[in-house]
Amino acid sequence: MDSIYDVVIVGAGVSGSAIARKLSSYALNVALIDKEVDVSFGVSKANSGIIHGGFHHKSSTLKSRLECLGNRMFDQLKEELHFPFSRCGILVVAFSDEEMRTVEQLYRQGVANHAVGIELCNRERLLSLEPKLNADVVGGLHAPNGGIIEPYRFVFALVESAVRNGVKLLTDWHLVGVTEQENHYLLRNERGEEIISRYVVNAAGVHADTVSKLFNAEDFTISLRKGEEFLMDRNAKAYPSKVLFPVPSAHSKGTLVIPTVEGTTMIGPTSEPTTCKDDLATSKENFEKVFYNARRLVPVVSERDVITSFTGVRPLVESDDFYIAISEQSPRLIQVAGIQSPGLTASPAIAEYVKELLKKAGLSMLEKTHYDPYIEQVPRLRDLSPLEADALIAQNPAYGDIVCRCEKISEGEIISAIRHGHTTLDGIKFYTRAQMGRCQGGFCTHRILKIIERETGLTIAEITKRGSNSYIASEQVGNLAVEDNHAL
Amino acid sequence: MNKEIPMTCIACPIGCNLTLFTQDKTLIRVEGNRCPRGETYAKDEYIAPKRIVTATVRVTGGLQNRAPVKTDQPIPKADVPRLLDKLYRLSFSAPITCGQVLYQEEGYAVIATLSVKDIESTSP
Amino acid sequence: MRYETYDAVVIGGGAAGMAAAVTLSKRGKSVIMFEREPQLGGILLQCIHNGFGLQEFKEELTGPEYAERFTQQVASSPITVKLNTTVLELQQKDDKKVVIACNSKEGILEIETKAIVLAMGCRERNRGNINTPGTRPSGVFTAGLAQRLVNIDGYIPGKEVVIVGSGDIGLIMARRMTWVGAKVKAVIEIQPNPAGLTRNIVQCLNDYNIPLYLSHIVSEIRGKDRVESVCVTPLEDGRPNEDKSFAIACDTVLYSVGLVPDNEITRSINLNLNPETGGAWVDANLMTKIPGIFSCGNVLHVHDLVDYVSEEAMRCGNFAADYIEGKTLQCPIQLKAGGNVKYVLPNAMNLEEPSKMYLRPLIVKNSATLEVRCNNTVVKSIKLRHVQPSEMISYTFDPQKLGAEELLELNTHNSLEISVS
Repeated sequence: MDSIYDVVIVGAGVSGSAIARKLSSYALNVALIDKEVDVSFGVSKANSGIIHGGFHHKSSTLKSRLECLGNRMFDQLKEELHFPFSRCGILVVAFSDEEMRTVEQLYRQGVANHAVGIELCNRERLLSLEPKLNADVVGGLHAPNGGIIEPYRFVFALVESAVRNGVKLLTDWHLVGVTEQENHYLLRNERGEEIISRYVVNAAGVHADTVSKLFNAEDFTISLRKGEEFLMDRNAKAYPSKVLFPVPSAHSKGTLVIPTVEGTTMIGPTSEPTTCKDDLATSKENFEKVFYNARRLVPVVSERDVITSFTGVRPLVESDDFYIAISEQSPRLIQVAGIQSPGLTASPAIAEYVKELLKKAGLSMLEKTHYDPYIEQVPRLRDLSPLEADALIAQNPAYGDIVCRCEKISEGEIISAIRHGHTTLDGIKFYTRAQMGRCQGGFCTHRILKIIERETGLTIAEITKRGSNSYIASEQVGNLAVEDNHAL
Repeated sequence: MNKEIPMTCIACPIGCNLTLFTQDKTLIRVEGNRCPRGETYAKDEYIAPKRIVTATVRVTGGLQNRAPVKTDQPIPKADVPRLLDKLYRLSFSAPITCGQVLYQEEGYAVIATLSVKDIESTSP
Repeated sequence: MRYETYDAVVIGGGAAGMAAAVTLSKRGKSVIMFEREPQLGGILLQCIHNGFGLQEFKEELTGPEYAERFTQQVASSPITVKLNTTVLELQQKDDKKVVIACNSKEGILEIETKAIVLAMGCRERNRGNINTPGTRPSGVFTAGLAQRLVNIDGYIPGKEVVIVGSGDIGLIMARRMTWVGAKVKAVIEIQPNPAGLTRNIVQCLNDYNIPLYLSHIVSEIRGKDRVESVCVTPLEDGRPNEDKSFAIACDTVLYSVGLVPDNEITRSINLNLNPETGGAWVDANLMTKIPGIFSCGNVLHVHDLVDYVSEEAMRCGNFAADYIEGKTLQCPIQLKAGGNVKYVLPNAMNLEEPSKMYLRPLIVKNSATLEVRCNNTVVKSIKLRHVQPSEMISYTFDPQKLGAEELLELNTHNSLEISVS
């Protein structure tokens, strides 16, 4: 058995990964575990990518505090981790005087939360900030500190940075049993493998309640709200310059029109309760509802631009706030549960907060002298000028072979994804964007399969979409007997 | 025993709906065809239905791993699955020329429909 | 970086690209061709079934054999062929046209040229475009991707298949999957009539007792990691009747729901696209609204017969050569789609020479009539034995054969309308 870890973090979503990176700057033995074959395959997979502006939640809430702190950290993080990020700003628009009252309340919350630059806008100001808005708006709010990132690249980068600084990443590691001993925990997975850790952070997303029970810790229930989003072509006319919000309801921030940092437009998400943790089905009713709501904000939104849709599940705890605390039942366990929106925004601040909680729980932490916050920047062919691209290809010919033509992704980038541990089609998709374009993998999938085969030695029959039983093509021609099922 | 068998003619794009009248498995007459090709098609299809088979076979040492092939004429429909299972078990080494006979059975040949170059090949 | 100059650039090395390039080369023009794949042939290489070449070569060939007829012509010509090369951008400044491409051996290539032939073909519509609700398991493919995996890579996408769409690609794949030992459980078609050729219905479905559900949709895909089943719902009066939904257990869903001309690289030059075809607006020279840029093949409009693609591409090559020689004819006569016609190409013609028109009817009929009208007067009427939406009609209109009065009408009104009844 390996040496004892100081901290094991359960769940490599945005929270767990941010915490892992934070802890990697200290002289600690840390492991980050996740039951999926790749990181960010749980709740964080279906994130809208919004860096929120710090006005949606009351200052008294933990989520609001951490949102505001987290928001300010993204420029530095982008500098170190090279994920796409744009502080493009957020608009919340009102269509009636009644809705304006809510907007004013949000504004006051924003001011109380020290949201930099937040302003109340009249109709003219709003339309000048975003001409594509429905001309019927009566006014709204502008939060210039809001923005958008590519969420998967962010989580991947956090993990890469953590691993670079010594964190052990254990994917396909499903925690099923815990034995608490005097000053450590014995953690056991599905295969019977064991690791030992002095402290554990429960950042297990929709499964945080299950994990808590394994520790005989707090008995809470994660309730779920499903959300569906629609991705539109990068040439859609509806692409706005800022993230557009309607006035929020009791349950959700509403149907948004989101200019992704990659140039596509997303609309959604919906918000409806669900009971199944794996329920990721999309529906026809949602399609109609979302488009109706999106068109209310931006009249040129068109169904014809839809490339695909996807769903995600948000984990909620009863208080509806973040539940981040030292467990009272199991004092070397830190609970990080109920991380719904604004979880992504708050994540770097969550990491800071959890680090402090670990200190409070008795973990002594010495800063590393050789901590490197930077990760390698992987070039992306499509961002380069012809001369830069030419120089890159001369250095590394694989960058001259375009695999995904819809998004202009080169073989060099695919190889980079594989070398960073992403060997499933979805992992490569989230790392490089290949298969995310208008043909949705119609042209590039067979090439990606061959590249994975060549780089990893996996046969095409062994390659999966996202681990488990999500195989692509399990048989070779000739393996199946041709049945005689002709008509007579 | 009299039987009426429906069939769609595929001799031309119109696709006439034919009816074949049979008595004790003998074809007596064909109805529904707009031209004599329909009657010919119905007779052939009833008595001895045949199909051209296309498939791929394994290739070793070539720029591609599989080569497309076809039967050089239509073969009895009932023989198709057996031929396919047979072809999938075969393997050929590059180079292969389009039109090259790769396999033969009584009455027909299976030919390559694409040239596959040797992996060592330096020609463009 | 490589900077080179050619008379013409052909983008795409499939059926259209090869025919256009060979024609340009025969006219003495210097030609460079760009092709993404490691060999020429385009989509023909994975269409290993029969049925190509009846018009062009008077023989029934498989896709690869048809392709090889042209790759041989390219090989024995001075055409510069760049394989494994992707065009990144088109630029148009005054009279100059520049094509920027890249490959792993040479880096970035910047080609200055007089004429560009767009021959990039189509991409397939997929689940996302028609937004089938349900989960996102593996096992959902477009028919073309499945065809590629089976015919070129030698992998079987799944064992129990449901196919969405009864177009020819879906029907061909129904047979292909059966021929590799999979079980095709159903073909689901939203329209009340099958979309593909009758020949394919008979030889791909009936031969194997594969049920075809007309006026049905796949209303949901189910399965956690891999497809486990689909929910199929009948349409009544055009609306889904949920009460009559039923499930089909399967591990694979193939989508054959249409092709879209792949004109994305033309966005950088603001090429006018025709919303009816998805391809460029072209005149009788197959020239787009940008002088010197031509379009042919599936990227112009979705063809059903590759023979027509080759014929169109050869004409296109000649028109491009004419342009380079400064001989392009003006096309002042607008051509419009009239009754029962989905679209007609080209969008404009001239009066000096006969124009080959392509059109798609919206009806199924035997003994149909095609009418060419000018200002509501019928100037030409021909009988067609059989028309159906899945078969493109081609018709050569010769303005020289019109009467003096009709010619005068045409010169005055500058527009023609084509209809089918």
